[in-house]
Amino acid sequence: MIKKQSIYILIIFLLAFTMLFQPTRGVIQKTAADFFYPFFSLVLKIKNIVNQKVLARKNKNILSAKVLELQRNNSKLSAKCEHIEALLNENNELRKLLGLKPNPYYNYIFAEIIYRDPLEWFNRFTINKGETDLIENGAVVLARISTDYPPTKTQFGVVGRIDSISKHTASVSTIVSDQCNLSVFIPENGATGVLTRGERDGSKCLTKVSYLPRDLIYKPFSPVLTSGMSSLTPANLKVGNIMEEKDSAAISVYNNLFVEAKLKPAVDLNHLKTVLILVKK
Amino acid sequence: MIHLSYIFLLLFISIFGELFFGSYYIIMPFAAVIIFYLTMIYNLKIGIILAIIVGSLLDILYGHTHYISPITLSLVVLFSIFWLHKGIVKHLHLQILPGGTISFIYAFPLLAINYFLNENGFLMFLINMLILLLTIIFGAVLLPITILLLDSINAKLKINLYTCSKNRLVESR
Repeated sequence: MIKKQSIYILIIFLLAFTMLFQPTRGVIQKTAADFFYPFFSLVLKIKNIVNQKVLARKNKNILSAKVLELQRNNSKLSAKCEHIEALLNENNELRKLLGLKPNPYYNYIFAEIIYRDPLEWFNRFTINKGETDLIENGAVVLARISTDYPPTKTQFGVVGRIDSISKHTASVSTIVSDQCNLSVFIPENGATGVLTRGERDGSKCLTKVSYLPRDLIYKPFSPVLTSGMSSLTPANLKVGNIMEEKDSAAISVYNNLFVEAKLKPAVDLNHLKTVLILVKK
Repeated sequence: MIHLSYIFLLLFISIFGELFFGSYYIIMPFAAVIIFYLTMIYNLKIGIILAIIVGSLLDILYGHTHYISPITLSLVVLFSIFWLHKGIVKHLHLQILPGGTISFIYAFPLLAINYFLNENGFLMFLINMLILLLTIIFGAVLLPITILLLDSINAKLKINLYTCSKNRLVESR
């Protein structure tokens, strides 16, 4: 009887130790995420099939008009891409002649969100791409900017960074999460700072830019871009805008040392479904 | 062997269900309901072990920095033992009460910790209250359905029934 009891206690302690010990926890996370991956990818497949069926029920004339429009846009974008590719090659040649480092190339990997924590809705989510898709830790994740921005120009904004990867899935920490630190730049006054952590108030969420120089002027709605200091993050990707001063101070001086500004993320983190991951070639 | 596969399947469904509904901003207390059910048909020790496994897996998969789910699920196990001794297990409609209670035990600490760590303001407090209320309702509905469904499967598999768990307690005395 006592022997059986001690076995149970030993099992409980072993389990608790395995879950609390960082390296074993990492292994369990990878194994569990990969175990659940086929089931969630099946759910995604079913969702996509249903969406296709719903789309197929629309009027054929409307659909064919849309296909033609997409084909036109596609050829325009292909021509633009070719031109940009030529300019990029030329730029690299010139940089080589001047003895400067060439600009890094990035691959764009499309991913879908497979599950999300209702408690940390704005902080973290899991996507259906992992090590097999050549994703690496710290890679920047982008998404389409919400519709309240000018729709004439399609823009992508920073959502967050890859936090942990398994073979088929990856966990993304958003810019609101305290686990995503990103070097940012304000083009209006040339200030650089670091995205630290955010908070949520109702449906709004904001993030803070810390370590900004004290002696500069910060205006509300100024765009904030990535600085490109890390090789994993290209420069000039939109992160958000400095918030308008309403209820609480959007810009505050911290201990007379540096300025801390509140930032409204460019991307609507509430309604994310698909994202793009930037991976260095 | 049949018990192991049965437990594994139930735990898999509970974790998958919780993750699936979580993606739609719903806390569906599948894990709490399944742990409660398994503790009632097996015993406290197995319940605690399963609570630690399921709770840790949920926290690890969600990427939580605070590991609270194993503790809240262990509290669910303790409540199930209390219900086994003091509650009524025969009538299915009365299981709404433990269903709501275990949902509260499971979700309240998670919501409270998250509120104090990541959120602020009265609006967020109200949203959290609404989520808690919905979770309690889901749990209250889910437990009787789960009992009805699993008891009918258990009868065919010759595994202990929830509705007969009180009889087993009397026999063991």
